[in-house]
Amino acid sequence: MSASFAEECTELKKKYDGCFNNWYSEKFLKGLSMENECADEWSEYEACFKNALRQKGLMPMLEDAREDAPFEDGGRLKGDK
Amino acid sequence: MVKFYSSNYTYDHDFGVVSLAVFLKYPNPYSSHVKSVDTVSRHIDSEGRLHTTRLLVKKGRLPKWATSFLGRINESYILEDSIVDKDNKVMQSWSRNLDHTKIMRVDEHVKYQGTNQGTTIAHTEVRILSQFSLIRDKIEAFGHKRFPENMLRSRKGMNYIMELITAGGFKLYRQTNSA
Repeated sequence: MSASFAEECTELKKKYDGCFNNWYSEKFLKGLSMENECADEWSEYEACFKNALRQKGLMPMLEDAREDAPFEDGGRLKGDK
Repeated sequence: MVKFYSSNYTYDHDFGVVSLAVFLKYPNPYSSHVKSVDTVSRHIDSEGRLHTTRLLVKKGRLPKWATSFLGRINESYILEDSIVDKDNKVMQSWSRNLDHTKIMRVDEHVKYQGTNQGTTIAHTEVRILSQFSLIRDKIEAFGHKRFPENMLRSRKGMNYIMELITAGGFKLYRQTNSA
């Protein structure tokens, strides 16, 4: 599994990824669970990751990106035929 | 200037394996330039579709002519949104670079469609935009050369991960926990 961009979050990320991958393949795809069951792993990882984003000053770039929507028309790239 | 590229490819694996491979794709031996992948947000909508946003950091791999006037770009941030619609066996992903966008902005849309034959068709569309009209020929040539190379590397990486998944060699949660 891949590393987190913030080294200190990599272990938490791998724990979350492991939980998610298992839930995704064993439950979600089989229609057994429509609820993400990795909430504990997620909140630990998210807190670490968001904190690192703030410390590295990357929050504004990410927030700007959320407002910018390059993929209109049901997901086709703008200007595409 | 705007340039478009597109490509179709059929994976010999079903939708479940292919869509999981998209999430597990990095690291793989064909994509050593991808340094990290983080999940920014994830939710399931009222129609049961899984939405994920991820932030990828890639090492800069600009050609020499570009570094001569742009300086050395060490890394680039990529934001990727994806939606998995498991009932229709469709996964779509949209990604774009967040920085260095004036030099070159690359938007990529991939649609994975599972078939009844147990294969999955991937349709990729890439759009390259640049405000640097003086170097547009170079950027176009760069794009032409790089697009097929990137597609090939991406497929090799996906196939590598899918082999791991189907061989049961992927560490899932229980195994990582007991380790």
